[in-house]
Amino acid sequence: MTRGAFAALAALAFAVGCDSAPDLGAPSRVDVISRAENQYQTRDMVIRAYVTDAAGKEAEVTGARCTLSSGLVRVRSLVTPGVAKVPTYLQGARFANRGKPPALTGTCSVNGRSTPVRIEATSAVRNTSVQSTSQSGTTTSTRLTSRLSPTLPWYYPGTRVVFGAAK
Amino acid sequence: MKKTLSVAAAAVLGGCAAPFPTLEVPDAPVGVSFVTQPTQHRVVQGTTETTVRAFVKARTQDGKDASREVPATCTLASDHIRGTVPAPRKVALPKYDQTSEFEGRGVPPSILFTCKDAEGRSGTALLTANPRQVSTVTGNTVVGLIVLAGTAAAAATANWRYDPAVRVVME
Repeated sequence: MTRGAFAALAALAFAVGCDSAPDLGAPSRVDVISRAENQYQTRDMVIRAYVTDAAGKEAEVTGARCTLSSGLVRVRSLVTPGVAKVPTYLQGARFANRGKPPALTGTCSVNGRSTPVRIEATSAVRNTSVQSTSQSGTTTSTRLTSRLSPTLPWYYPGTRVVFGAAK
Repeated sequence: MKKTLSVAAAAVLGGCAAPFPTLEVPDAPVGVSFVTQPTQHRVVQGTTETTVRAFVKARTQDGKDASREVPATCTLASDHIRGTVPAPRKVALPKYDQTSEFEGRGVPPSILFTCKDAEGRSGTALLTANPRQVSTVTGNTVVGLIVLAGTAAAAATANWRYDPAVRVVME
């Protein structure tokens, strides 16, 4: 597809996709190349793709095709917006590098353009705060869940893939 | 009036009854072994008890999805401890000091429970620790599903302790 057509697609994406995100399709196929000793349950990893116009404004684009591999797993032909059920990995000092798996790397392509993708595993979780108010009226807020991050499994987070403005 | 209340109570209890009976848990807890000594300075006196139960997927008489408790043999593994528990059973787990002197305020490692039954079904669950008086609302076994509630004051200073129950679903 030509650059002009890509620009037209981007313009269309801006025109129709500004308010609602497209639905995810069926989960893409994930192959386990090598089963690590700390492989645990699977978790959904969502990938969405965006195009940027000359003014730097982003709009979601559907149909970008992504192929990723970590050496342990391979995600085949995920079409954006798409989801893949990829393994999580137990974290602990008893595993090398605390069990952190290699990053998922690969490319996403749409309309003849491609961009490299790298997804690092993380164990971070969103902070959940709890609040308590003492008799004197002082409110204390404590973040809880982030403290558990060193004990939680590694997982691949959802990712935004951005294609730069067509030249 | 009393009869009416009794009938109402029976109806409520009947409606809440589990479709399959739970198995009896022996009183005495099973202990665990420490596999690393250097970490013991973080461990405080006393233990907490966590009840381990294993389940398999089942269907009720009216065709609804449910789970049925079955006996199983479960192993525990973390950076610090190892153990074997015949489910259902209580296991005595260490408590950990929470202080800023330790990395991550001394949060202890999560414990992986791996259960197997006599028919070869197996399953896993991950048990994390929480500060005292802070309880999980939606379970703590899956990343992203952690919701905690409790008092901030207790959460900031109390010992880390493992949840009182772990449920392992086997397939």
